[in-house]
Amino acid sequence: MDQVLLRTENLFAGQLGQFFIVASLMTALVSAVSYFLAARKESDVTQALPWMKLGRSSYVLHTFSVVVVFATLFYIISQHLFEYYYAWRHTSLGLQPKYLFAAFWEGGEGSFLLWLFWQAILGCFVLWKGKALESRAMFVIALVQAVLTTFILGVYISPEIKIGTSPFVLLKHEMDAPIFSSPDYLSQIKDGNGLNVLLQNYWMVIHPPVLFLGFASTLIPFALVVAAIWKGNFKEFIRPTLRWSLLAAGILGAGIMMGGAWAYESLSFGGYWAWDPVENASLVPWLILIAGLHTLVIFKSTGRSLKITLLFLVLTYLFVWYSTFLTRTGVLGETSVHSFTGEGAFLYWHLVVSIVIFAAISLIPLFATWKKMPVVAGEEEVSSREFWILIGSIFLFIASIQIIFTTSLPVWAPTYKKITGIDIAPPVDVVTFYNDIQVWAAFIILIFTGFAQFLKYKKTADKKTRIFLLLSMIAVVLAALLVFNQKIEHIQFMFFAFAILFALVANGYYFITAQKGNIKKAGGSVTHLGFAIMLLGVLISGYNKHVISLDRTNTYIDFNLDTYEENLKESRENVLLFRNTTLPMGPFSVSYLGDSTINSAPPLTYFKVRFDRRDEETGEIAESFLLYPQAYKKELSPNPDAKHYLSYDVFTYIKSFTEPLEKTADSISYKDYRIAVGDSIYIANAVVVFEGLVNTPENNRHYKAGSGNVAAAEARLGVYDLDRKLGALYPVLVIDSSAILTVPDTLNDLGLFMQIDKIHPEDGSVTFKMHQKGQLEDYIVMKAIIFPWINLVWLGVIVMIAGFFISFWARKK
Amino acid sequence: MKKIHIIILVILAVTIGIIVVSFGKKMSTYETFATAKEKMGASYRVSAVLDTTTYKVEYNPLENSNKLVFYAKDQNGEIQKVTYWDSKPEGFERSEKLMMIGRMTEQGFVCEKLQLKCPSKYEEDHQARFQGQDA
Repeated sequence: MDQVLLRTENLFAGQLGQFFIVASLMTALVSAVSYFLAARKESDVTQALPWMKLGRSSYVLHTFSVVVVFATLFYIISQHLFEYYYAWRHTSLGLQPKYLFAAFWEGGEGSFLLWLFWQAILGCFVLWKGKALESRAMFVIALVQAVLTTFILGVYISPEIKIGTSPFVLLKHEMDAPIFSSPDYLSQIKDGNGLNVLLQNYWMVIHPPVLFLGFASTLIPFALVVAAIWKGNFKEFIRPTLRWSLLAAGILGAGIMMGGAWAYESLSFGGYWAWDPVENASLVPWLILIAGLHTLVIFKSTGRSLKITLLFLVLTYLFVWYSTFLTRTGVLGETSVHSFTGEGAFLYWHLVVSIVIFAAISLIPLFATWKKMPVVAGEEEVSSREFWILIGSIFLFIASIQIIFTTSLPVWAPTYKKITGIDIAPPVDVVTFYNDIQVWAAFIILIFTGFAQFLKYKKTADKKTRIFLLLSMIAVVLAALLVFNQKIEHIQFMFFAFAILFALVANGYYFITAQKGNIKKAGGSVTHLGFAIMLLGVLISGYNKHVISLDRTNTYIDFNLDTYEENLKESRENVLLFRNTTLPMGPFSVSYLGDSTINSAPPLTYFKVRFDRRDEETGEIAESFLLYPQAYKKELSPNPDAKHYLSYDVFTYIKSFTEPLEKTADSISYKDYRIAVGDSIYIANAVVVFEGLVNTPENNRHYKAGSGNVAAAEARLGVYDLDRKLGALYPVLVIDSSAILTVPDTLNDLGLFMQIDKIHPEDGSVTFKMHQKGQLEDYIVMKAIIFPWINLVWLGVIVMIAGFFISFWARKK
Repeated sequence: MKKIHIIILVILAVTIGIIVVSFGKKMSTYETFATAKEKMGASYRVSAVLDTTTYKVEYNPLENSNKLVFYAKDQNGEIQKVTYWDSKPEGFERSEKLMMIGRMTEQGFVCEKLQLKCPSKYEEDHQARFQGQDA
């Protein structure tokens, strides 16, 4: 430990990292320019080739530089080099090594670097396999990389204006305090600021890389589309664009839902989706990508819908940047619970300029050549497949526009206020607001996924009315059963239930009859089935989610609310549980058994809660399980725990709790017990046995021998109930050169606190001071929710993602 | 005009109609205690700060774990009693801003949803941490 504290600054790592940031910017620029010149001379191979070669080699160097920057920052973080601001701010010495990656992308610099890293790697695939499209697509990719690198550049062009934020700035330059003028200031920086406890979750280790890989992979369709528009050649871009779009849809979809899984597991809003602006901002590019994917399939099969495809795929990537703009600049202000910090006005304009550049290289050529694009004469047959897929895609697009328009409210509200004078705010109940609109979009899209596959491209369908009638009837019957079984009372959700079941039945039927169960051909059906299964889970778990921790002790208090029910609901969703007491919650009897703290940084406290389910007929306990909702007491941040069953989850978290024993110990009353070895003290539910006195304590939890200690004694006490040992206490008495110190010990499970007051050498007895916390002093306030069939959500997501990968794989040559 | 164009136009018109109607009805507004008092019965968003100078925060889980009573000062400086029928959110006393969704009643403001803006641990005077230490 001491060596770490006495070391001097490691400036080399930061200089290396900063050098390679500049190198990656320069190489990306050189590559972009070279590829641009190569693309201009594409028709003449001898002239284009030297530029192509320069473009390639500089792009490879760029990728190498980005990898070095990435590795250097990881080194700085993993070594806790606190002379670097990023390491100091996002890690602490006690951070578990598995969360080092979570610390890496906690800050904006790390996220930009992660994004840069993925795009650099994916760009290499285009370089390698791009063929005729390489020079044009690689120009776009290298240009985007150059722009993205400026976000971690950290260069001042004037004292006020800084381009980007480097992850390699030194702590002493960020902080203005006298200690930094001392050459050995590092010895005074004992620990880092640490990682936000909400992010200390394994989903936070894997979800950002997947999400950013998804964002990064939407760059490739964007680049290929720009390349196609550039030369007006719309043939060779189809296959790679389709495959990259499928890959991006699968990865981005997985990333978004992993974020949902993280929210479900570690945030206490009780759910996986809250229509939060940050969630919406990543959903919107995905929806537009799905729309573009479908219209691209139309174009591939019929030559129609080209323009709208190009538009969708360009917008997908522009919306990825717009998401970054919304979430990183702090423009969302109070409307989001996610706490990304704004990095000042300059980031705002930096992102605006970047988006304008990307829009300029894509939308301007698109609209300039709009009239010249190839079109198919005549119009789509109303009963053709392309007609309905197109309408479905337009609905997807409109649904996403509704989401992004509402999410962007803080962006346009100031203008709106100037015009109308109304200080508009997001809806009071955001979730219901989105649900009520989006349920109809989902309804239409689900129905289309069910029947469009039965239609044929470019022609009027055969008479399949009978099959559709049959499938619809089955869906109606199943939907009626579902509505009855799940007690669905709202008309929109009844329609929704029908659409889900129609999609399931029709896609299942198509998979079996038309595709004959051939999995390789069935990517589309599998994806649609997964989508429907996911929405089935969303419907049931969302509609019938219910709080079981209802407080029945407090009576109804009138507070002028609309209805009695509303009042009731508002006043009773949290339950107070004393230690070792039991309350009924839904089908369970729930007991709070005590807490225990592990010494992580910051300390994490587990609350042990037992759930017993009684058999309804016999009254016997059918099963018992323990849940350990946690809280970081100092940070006051709860971490839920859940018991997963096939058909439902029991989800619980702590809302409030009493202070830990050590803190309250000063103010409580002790009793003195003078006892000898072998004697015991009776306490509530247990007996404390004084088992021995040791003169040189070793491995004591609270005490380590110091140089000034003259003597020390450790008492050993065992705590038993009728049939087993419950725990042990090891209080210590230390005789120092100047004073006598007593080191107490606690047994949290029993609320027991014990210290040595005096040792009596004359008869070998010891006077202990003891306190047992009364049950009334030790309680938690908790909330427990049942989510029925939430596993369908996860199953649906997995099936849907699998479908994208099947399609991707089936389109391998 | 092609059939598809007509259909697309109809879809667009209907959707825009739905969006506009939903905005008119569902969107909330930012209010102060005074303006919310004029429009009693409906819920609004009120931004305020916790005021502990005159009254204490009342939360007694032993009595009722679902009742929090406190006083809040809005942007105009008006102080109102607020009742929140839920447990006290963690870090409540440290919050620097409260975003409340709720309604005004005769007995004061009834808060239905409460969001806290806490001084982020990350922004929290980092400078100050080092200021106390000498070179």
